[in-house]
Amino acid sequence: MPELKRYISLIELVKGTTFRSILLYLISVGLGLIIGGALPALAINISPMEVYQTIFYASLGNMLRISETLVKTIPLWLIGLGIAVAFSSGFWNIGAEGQFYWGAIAAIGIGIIISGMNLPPPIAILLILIAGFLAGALWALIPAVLKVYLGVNEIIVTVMMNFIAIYFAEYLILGPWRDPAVPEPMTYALPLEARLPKILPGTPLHAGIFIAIIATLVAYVILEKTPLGFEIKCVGNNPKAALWSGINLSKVVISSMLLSGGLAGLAGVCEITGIHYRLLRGVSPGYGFLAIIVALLAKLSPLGVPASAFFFAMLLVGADALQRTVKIPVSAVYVIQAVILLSVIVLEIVLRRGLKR
Amino acid sequence: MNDIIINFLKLVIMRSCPILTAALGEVINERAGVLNLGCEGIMLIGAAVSFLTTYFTNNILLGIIVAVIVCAFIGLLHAILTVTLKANQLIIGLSIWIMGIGLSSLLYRVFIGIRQALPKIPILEDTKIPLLGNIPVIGPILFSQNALVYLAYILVPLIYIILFKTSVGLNIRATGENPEAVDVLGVNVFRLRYLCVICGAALMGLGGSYLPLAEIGTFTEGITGGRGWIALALVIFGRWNPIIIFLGSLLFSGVEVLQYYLQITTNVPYQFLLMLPYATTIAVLVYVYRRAEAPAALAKPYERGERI
Repeated sequence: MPELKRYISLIELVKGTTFRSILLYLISVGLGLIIGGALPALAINISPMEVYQTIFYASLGNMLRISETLVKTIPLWLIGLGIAVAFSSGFWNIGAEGQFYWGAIAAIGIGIIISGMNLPPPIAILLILIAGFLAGALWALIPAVLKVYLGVNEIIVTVMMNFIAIYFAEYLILGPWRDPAVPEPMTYALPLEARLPKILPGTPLHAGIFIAIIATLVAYVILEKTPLGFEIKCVGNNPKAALWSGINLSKVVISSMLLSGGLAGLAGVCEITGIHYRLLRGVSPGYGFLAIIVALLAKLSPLGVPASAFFFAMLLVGADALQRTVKIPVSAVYVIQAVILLSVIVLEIVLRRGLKR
Repeated sequence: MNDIIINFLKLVIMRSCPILTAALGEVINERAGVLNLGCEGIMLIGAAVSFLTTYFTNNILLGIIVAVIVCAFIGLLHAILTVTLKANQLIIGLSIWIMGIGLSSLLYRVFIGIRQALPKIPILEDTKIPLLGNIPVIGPILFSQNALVYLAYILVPLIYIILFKTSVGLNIRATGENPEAVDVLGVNVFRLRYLCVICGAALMGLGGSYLPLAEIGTFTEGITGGRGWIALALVIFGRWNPIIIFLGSLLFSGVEVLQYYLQITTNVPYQFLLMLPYATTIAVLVYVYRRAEAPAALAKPYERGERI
C-alpha cells in the first residue's frame, strides 16, 4: 500500500522511543546550528563560538532579553498552532503569512472604527480579537473552498494569496489608512483602550502570551479530545479511508482551515495590539514561513509547538543581535531551520532502516 | 503605435523566460514522478549565485554556469532525500524552499554586506540574429533578444523531443506513470529519477539566474517574487507538455508586462496591479484544474519489490 505510506510519512516524521526522538532532535539541532552558524561566522572571520555566545546571551541573558524572546515566540507559536491543525488534516496551508496580515489589517480597521468611542478596554480588545480571527479565517476559507469543491492545489493558491494580502496591506499603509502625522509610512495608531497590557513592567512582554496559552489548550482539546479532531487526523492520515468510513471531508477540511487561518489572524492581532500599535511594512519577518517548520518540528502536536516556537524565537532574537554586531541577517535562521528539519528526516529514516536490518 | 505593440510583445517574450525555464525544469521532474516544491528556493539560489559570480568575475557566462552547477547539486540533495531515502516530497520541497530563501540572502549578505547603493552588474545585451532579425515585426519581437531567450527557444523543442520522441523520454514518462512496469523492463528507475531531478533543478537555477543577469542587474531579497510557484502552476496549466507550457508562459508574462504598462497609464494604486500576476495564477488554476491530469506516480516514492 504505497499510497497509505505516503500519507503516514507526514505524521510519522519522528516516531519511536522518546529517547531516540530526543537524541535525534539534539543531533539535528546541533547540525543546524553548526552549519547555519559556522558558515557565516567563517566567512566574516569570527569564531563560531562567538556567534553562539551572542545568540545565547541576546536571547536568554536576563529577564528583559527573555521577555523579548517570548514576544517573538508569540506569533510563531500562534501561527505554528494553526499550521499544525491544517497540516494534520492533510491541508498544506502555506498561506499563514497572508492570514497573519489580514489579522493585523482587521486590528487596525476595528481600531479606526472604535477610536473616539471610549469603549472599556476588555470590550475593545475582545472586538479586535474576534475581528482578527474572522479575517484570518475568511482569508483561509478561500483556498479551502477551492480545494474541497474544485480540487485546486492549495499549496500554490495559498502562496499566491500571501502576495495579494501583503500588497493589500501595503496599499492601506501607503494609501487610505496612512497617518499623515508621522513621517514614515504607517497606519493610524490603535486607540489606547485597544492595546494589550504589558504583563511584566519594564519589558515588552504583553498579554498576547495568555492568548497563545489559551489557544494551545483549545487546539489541543479540539485535536486530541473531540470527534472533529479525530476526523481531522483521519483525513490527514488517509483521506480515502476517511471517506469510506463516512467522514464528511469538506466539513473537516473547511473547519480545520477556518481554525488555522483564525489562529494566524490572532497572531497578527497580537503583533499589532501588543507591540507595534500600528500597521507598517515588514511587520512580519516571515513568521508565516518560519512557523511552517516550527509546526513540522513539533510533529504537528499543539503541545510541542510552544517549545519549537521558543527555540526559533531565540534564534531570531540572536540573529537580530548578530545583525547589529556582525551583520548576519535573519535569513540565517531560515537556513538553520531547513537544515534541522532535513537532518531530523534523514536521521529518522536512516535509523529506522538500521533497526529493521 | 506599432512600436508600442512590438515593444510590448518583445517584453512579453523576454519576461516569460524565468518562469518558462523553471517550469521546464519542473516538468522534467514531474514527468519522472518527483514533485519539486523547492522550485522557488532553487531559483533564488540560482539568482544569488549567478549574481555574485558575475559581480566578482565580470563574466556573465561564468555566472550562469556556476548557478546551474550549484542548483544541480541542490537537485542531487533533493534526489537523495526523495528518491533514495523516500522522504515525503512535500516536506522536502518546502524545506528546500525555506533553505533557498535563507541561503540566497545569506550568501548575498556574507559576500556583499550592507551598502548604500545597490551593487550593479552589466546586464546581458540583446543580440540581433542576422537575417531573421531583419524580418519586419517578427524580427524585432523574436530575434532581437538576449542569449538566454534564445536558449529558452532551444530548450522548449529540445525537451519536448526528448520527452515525447525518444526512448529515454518514454522511460521517463513511464516512470512517472507506472515505475513498477519500467523496473520490470530492466530500466533503472532510481537512476532515471536522479537524472531528471538533477537536470530539473539545474534548469530552475538557470531560470533564477535570468533575473539578475538579464533583467534587473542586481540581487534583492526575494528577487523571484513567487515566480517559482507560478512555474509550478504553469506546469499544471501546460498539462505537463513543454509546448503548452511555452504558450502558457506567454500568458503569465503578458499579465506581468501589462501590469507595468497599466502602472504608467492608469491611476489604479500600483499595489493592486502588482497583485495581478498572483490573482491570474489562482484564476488559471481554478480554470484548468478539472482537466489537469498529473502523472499517476507523482510524489510517490518508488520502492523496489513492493507488492501493490
